[in-house]
Amino acid sequence: MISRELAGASARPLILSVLVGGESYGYAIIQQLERLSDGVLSWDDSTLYPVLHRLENEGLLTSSWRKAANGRRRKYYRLTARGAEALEAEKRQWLCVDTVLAHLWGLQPRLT
Amino acid sequence: MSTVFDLEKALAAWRRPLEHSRALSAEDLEELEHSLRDRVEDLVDEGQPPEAAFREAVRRMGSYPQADTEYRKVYWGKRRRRGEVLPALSWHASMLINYLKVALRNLKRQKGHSFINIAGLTLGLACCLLIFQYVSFVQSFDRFNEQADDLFRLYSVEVQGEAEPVTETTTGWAVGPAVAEATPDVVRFVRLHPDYGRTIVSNPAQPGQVFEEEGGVYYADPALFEMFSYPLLQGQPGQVLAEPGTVILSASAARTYFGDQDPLDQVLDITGWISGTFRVAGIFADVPAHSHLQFDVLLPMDDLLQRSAFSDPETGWGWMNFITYVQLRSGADLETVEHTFTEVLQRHRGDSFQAREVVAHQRVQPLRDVHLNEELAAPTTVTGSYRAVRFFTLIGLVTLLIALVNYVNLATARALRRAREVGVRKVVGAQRRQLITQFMLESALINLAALGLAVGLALALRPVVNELAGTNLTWAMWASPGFWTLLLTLFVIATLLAGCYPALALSAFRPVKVLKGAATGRGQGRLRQALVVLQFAASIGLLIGTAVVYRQLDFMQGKELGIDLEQVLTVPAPRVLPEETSRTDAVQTFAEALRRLPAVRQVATSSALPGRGFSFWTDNIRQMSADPSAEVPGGIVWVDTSFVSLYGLDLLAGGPLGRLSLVSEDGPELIVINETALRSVGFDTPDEAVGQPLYVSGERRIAAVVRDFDWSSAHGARENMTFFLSEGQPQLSFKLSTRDLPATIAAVEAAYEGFFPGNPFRYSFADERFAQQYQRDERFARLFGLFAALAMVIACLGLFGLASFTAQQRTKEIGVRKVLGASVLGLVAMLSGQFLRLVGCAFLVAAPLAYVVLQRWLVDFAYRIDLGPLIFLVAGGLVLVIALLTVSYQALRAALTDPVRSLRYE
Repeated sequence: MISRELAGASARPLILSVLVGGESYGYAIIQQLERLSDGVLSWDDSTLYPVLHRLENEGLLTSSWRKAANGRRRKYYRLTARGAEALEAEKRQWLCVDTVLAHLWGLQPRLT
Repeated sequence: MSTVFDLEKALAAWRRPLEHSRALSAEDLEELEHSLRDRVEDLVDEGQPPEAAFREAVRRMGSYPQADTEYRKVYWGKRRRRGEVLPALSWHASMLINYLKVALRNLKRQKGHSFINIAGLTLGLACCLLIFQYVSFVQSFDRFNEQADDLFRLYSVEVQGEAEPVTETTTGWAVGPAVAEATPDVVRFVRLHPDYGRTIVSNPAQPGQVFEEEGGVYYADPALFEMFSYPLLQGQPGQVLAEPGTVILSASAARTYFGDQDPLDQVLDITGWISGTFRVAGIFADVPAHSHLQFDVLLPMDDLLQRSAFSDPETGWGWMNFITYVQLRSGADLETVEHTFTEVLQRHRGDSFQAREVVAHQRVQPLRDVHLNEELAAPTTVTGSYRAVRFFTLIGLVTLLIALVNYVNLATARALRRAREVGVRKVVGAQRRQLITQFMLESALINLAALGLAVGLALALRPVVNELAGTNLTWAMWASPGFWTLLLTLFVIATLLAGCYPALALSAFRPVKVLKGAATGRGQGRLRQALVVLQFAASIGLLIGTAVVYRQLDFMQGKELGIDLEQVLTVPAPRVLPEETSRTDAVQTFAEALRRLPAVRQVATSSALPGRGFSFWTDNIRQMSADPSAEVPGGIVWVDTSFVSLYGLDLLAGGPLGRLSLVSEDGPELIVINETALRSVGFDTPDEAVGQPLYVSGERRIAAVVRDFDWSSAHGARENMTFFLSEGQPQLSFKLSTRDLPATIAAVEAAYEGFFPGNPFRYSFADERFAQQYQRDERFARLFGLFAALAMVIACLGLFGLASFTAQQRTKEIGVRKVLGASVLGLVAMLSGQFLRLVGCAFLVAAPLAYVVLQRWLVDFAYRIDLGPLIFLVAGGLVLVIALLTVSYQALRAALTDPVRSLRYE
């Protein structure tokens, strides 16, 4: 498990990144992140949905209801152009933090 | 039989509470539900039984309150996106209206409580408003000066050995120029010389009209208008007051002297420290009320320095009649500046300091400290008091606190009755947040009503307070934004303080317990008792304070003065005299003439009058043979030989002081000293001193010694006094023998006008003048009394409410007791005793605190009362009686209720 604070901070880039690969719905997003992180990122619905709604308020996502193959109605979220921009900004920040930490921990291959 | 798990039923049960959430739209709920179904399906696919899968899925959903808050955070965004802002708003508005409706109904249903709440808060807030208005007024003094932060007044401190340091806010005329030359930190300096005493002003174009000014006439340097922000209506700053023989006037003074005519370049005859004809060269706007300097007529400083005794350069340092202000360079280091100033002082007066073994410093006092610092008061300027400000601020806050406590007490007491309402509301789905809103809104409503009434009351009481406090609070305060900010702050704080506790306590009730009738509110009872103790401790403290302040005042006014001030009429000598007439001769002739009036028993002249200081004449005294380091300060008054007997002073040795004693056989001048001075310079007995030489501004000889008496108020200790025997001094005293005062005064006036035409006749009685010294103390006592009474009324209102509540709550108990044979008296005692115990506790809390505070207050008086236990007991007893009367009405009513009715009440 990761800490509450980190989960909160990373929710935004994670959701935006998942949706780069195409539109998706809440439960699927949770499942996908859980799979990719080997169960480390395991969110409650009460964590995910408000974030989705907030991103939608900010205009980074749009949503629409679809009927799925099993006949169940699902709300699909899709990245908007502004969402893609926001993701680029997030990406730069996270990569920066990542690089610095890697350096500090000596994980980066060095030439010398 | 095992029940079959039905997913749809379980889902419906899960959905039901969420359907009520405003934060969650139907669509959001559907999304959540589908998510839940997906997960259940997956878990079942993994082989879990449906019921376990459902439980696990719900667990993974997260808790409901958490979801609710999270959803709430995005609430308005969602409404906006969907164009549902208006409906959402209207929902909130309708809730608000509902809260209001309920609040109003509650207010209406319990008229008594509402009245007590609103009345108490109104009084408390009005008190607060008035006090804060007063405080903000005195704190605004001199702030209108744009350069206020760089302006300072000079003062000096002299320390002689172990003695208390002596501070002096006046300087010689040479100090200003000397310090300005000594350091570039001084941008400019201004000297002011009050025209001490009275000034006669007349317009030669209108003969017969003579004006007498007292206190508003100054000689000033031209830099005055460059330094301070007094707007000039006519004339240029720096130029006015630079030309000799000119005068500048305030707009209203100009109107007084010249009516509607253009005052510029007109002339005025002015008789003060210097006399002559002055041309009007400028007009300034009337000095605002919040200025410590109050002046109407300004004359050039150079005129005074050249045309009076000050033209002697020797007077520049020792004659300290001047108030000197300096403007320092912004950011100048004060310590360096004071150091330089002290060096300057040492250079010119070092010899005299050394001879007297005095360490002297020249200091600067920031302008913003000038008005309120009563330790450093200059003559003729308006001085307030930090202590009074602190005292009244404290009283204002205490009064408000008492009023708020009322509200909290009554609200929690009522809470038990409203517990059922809260329970029902909770059961039908009210959330805690909504209940808190409800109670806060009630508090806000009551506070708003109280605030509105308080503003009205404060406005209505303003003239009364002005009268009592001698202040001049104006409407202007009500227009300033700062004041409204204060009002708003007061409202918010009062609402929160009063509303918080009931809101939190009530909304926390558990409906199950409440509806079963199990809420007893025991813990709250204890809190209420503590608050009542607090309230009454404050009231008792204020009451004891009032009693002590009044007793001290009485004591001071009734103190044996050792001087007979009764039936003594005092008249100042004329200022305008024909040329070539010496004032001494004129006064002497006048005095002789009046001795012949049958109603006048005695006439004396003196340079100063009892209760009016020494007219700034003080000097150091010592025995002729003693070392200068043994000098002590003493006051000097010039008196004629009748003075001692007219004022009934007791001669201990020497005398009698006939006319002959004035004529000393070409020896030193003769003086009379008091006992304090006798002891201070080291004589043992009065007889020993008579005939001995004494050094006071030169060699004198002691002609007589008088028993100590009070020359000034009981604030200060008795001082060393020396009377120089002389004649024709500027203050005339008449001892009258008649009861027909009007006729006598008329006779004196007629004689005065015959002798001194062109001088307005003014008189006062010596005892009244002496009593005027206590005006400030009287004001303080009256204000203190007013606020103490208000606090007491508010506290009693609260107690009344609380008593009625307790009586109601115990209706059944009282009924049962009556049926079992309890007497009415016993019941009243039982019901009242409970509250009287609290008042007793309050007394135990308040008395020691009041003792400590009042001891500190009394230290300021040289003559003061002892704080015996009696004054405390009387104040405590009085509060107890008032509380008893308040409570017993309710107790009696409860005790007299027919038990049949009270027991049927279910």
